[in-house]
Amino acid sequence: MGSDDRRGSWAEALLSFVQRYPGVHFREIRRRLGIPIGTLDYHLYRMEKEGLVSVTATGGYKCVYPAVVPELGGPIPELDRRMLALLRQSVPRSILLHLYLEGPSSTVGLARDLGTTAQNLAYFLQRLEGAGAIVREGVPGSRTARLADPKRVHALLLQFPPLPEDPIDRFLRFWTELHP
Amino acid sequence: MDLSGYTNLAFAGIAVFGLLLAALALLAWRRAPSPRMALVATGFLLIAIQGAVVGIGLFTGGTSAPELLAICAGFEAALLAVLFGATLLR
Repeated sequence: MGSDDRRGSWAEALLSFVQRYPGVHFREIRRRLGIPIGTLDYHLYRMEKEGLVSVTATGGYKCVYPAVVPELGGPIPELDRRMLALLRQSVPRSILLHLYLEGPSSTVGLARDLGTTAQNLAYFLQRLEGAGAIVREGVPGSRTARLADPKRVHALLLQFPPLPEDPIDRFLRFWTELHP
Repeated sequence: MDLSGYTNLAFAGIAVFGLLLAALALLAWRRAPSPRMALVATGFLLIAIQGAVVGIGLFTGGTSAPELLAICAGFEAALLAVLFGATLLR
């Protein structure tokens, strides 16, 4: 396969990946598709210039969205973009899914159930609150968190599938889910 | 193939699979660093080393059966200690 063919197939793979998984971040694309970082940067720059995708910096991540989603007949609304970007990251996604499935939870219970530290959880809850995804209530020490709009989370989860697990993800899940 | 040939093959398989799983655990640890995943990787690495050491010992024939058993017991004990540590960690 010539280098032009390979460039063309990378561009196609990249565009269809972004259309299937909007909000996916730069490093995840590189990891999943195995595209060299410079090539990925070049293609994203070119596609953004051509109006095929848009790249937004969210919480330290460079998130990529398709310019138009055929089912929506236009771009993804800004609020949904922020939510999608969070759903593509493991800890925020775990928090959102926990709150969606279990309902409002105390922050202490959330940290325990997700197996994370209080500081780490507080950082992500702050980000989720900033994005308008959750609401925190109560006084510090006995705060609870709940989804701001559970229907929106439900709709986004249905419309945009999560990234498929690779063998390393499955290995990680298996061993981290084992508790005494 | 006689029994010793099959035993050699079995230990070579243990070494290869142990190494494969240790590599997977190392990649998982790189993706989400945690003490538990480091211990799991260490455990699989111990299995791989045990397979290699015992397999080579059997192949060269320079090590007696009691010595190989003692080596196996040492590795098993270390592996159990590592897995016990991984189980206790949250």
